[in-house]
Amino acid sequence: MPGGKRICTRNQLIVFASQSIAMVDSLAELNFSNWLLKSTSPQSQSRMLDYSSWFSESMASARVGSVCAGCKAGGSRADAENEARSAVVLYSLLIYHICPNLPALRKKIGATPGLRSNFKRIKAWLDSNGGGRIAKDFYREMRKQSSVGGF
Amino acid sequence: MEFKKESQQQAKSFSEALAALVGAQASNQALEKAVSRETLSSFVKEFGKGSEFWRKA
Repeated sequence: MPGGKRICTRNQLIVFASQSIAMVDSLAELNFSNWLLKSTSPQSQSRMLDYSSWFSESMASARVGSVCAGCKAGGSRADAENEARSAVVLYSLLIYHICPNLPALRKKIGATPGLRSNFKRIKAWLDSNGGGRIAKDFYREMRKQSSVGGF
Repeated sequence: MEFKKESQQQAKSFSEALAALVGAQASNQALEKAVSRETLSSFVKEFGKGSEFWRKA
């Protein structure tokens, strides 16, 4: 724009762009958590109300163990891997998006040694294997799917 | 307690539990994009039956 005044410097523009990207990311995360908590059907909510049970010995330890054994054993490998991937995504969603938004759940897990121990072990693995990214990538793909149909 | 037992019986698999949680069946594509083969291998190695992980519990 000849003769026009420069509104801001290049560096200011870069800072502004970075801040905008961070803001969009935070909003996306907030929308994601809201979606998880609100869009779940009432029937599903009643089934999954006791989220803490997914950290019990029978569920977290025994069931995860047998799912992983299924991946090693061969057979219908695609189904076994699908199940194991579902377990990873389920725990990512529970740990990074459901628990932080449900104080009663956090309290229950924190107050029960067995649940707390399994929660910590699974979270430690997710923290070192990009659990937060896993939850976000899953959400992004499901949203894409919804634009095609369903979800 | 009764409810807990019921919820465990109804969600027979992780894929079913995930579908119940998000209100839709997760596509294979969504699962594969979210959980890479490397992450899956690491998960199986870490949590598989007989691994040291659960013995430490």
